[in-house]
Amino acid sequence: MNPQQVDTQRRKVLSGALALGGISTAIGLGILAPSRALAKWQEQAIMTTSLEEGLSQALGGSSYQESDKVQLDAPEVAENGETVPVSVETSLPNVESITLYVTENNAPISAVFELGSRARPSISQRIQMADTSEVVALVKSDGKLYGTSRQVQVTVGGCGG
Amino acid sequence: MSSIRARATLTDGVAEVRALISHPMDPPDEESGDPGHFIQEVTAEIGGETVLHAHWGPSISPNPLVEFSAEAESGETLRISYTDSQGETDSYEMELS
Repeated sequence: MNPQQVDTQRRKVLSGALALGGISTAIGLGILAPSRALAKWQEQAIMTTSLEEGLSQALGGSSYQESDKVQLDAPEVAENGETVPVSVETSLPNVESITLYVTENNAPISAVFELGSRARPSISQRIQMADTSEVVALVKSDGKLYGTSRQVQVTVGGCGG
Repeated sequence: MSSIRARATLTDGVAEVRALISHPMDPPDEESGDPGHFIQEVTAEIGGETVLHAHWGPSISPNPLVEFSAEAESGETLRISYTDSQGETDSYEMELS
């Protein structure tokens, strides 16, 4: 089954559930997760080659507001694309999640980090980059998406992206 | 021995955690049909409460290193676990001090 089919089916099931007994039924069936928790691995977001589709899937939208309250640390030049250290930190309040994506990677979304209420909004992670690309950090704060980007020049690309 | 190693520093009620996982993070290969072998989910709990739930894919570097921080108290247990694309799981626990 391709992702599109799964999505269509999911929507069908969802609308059926909503028609039957409202939102609580959908949550009970595990179809709709409460907004703070993406219960299962976000396969569609992580494996898709469509950035927009992936972001909508994981975050409920793909457009974000540029914000200097999101700090993204990444090297200007990465000699080895297989391991590029990236850090994200934010002073924005009520952070639900931090997402990292690489626009030129075949599957652009590298990781989605959901944060519990005790977590500080700060993540460091080493990612693979296939090529020179923009790296974007998105922060979901109070239900809205904020982000910032950095251009990273890759000398030898990693293959994982 | 666990494939996860973690270090945590507790300062003024905040634990800074650095976790290193020994894992190949092999990407799938569409041409050969090789499904790959990579970590999909990582969960960190402190005192039984989830502080981090990470969704990963094949573009995370091999032998992944992740750093995060969360409010914590001395004596609480930090538990880190993962599930990979072949259904393998592992976990690691330590007491914060």
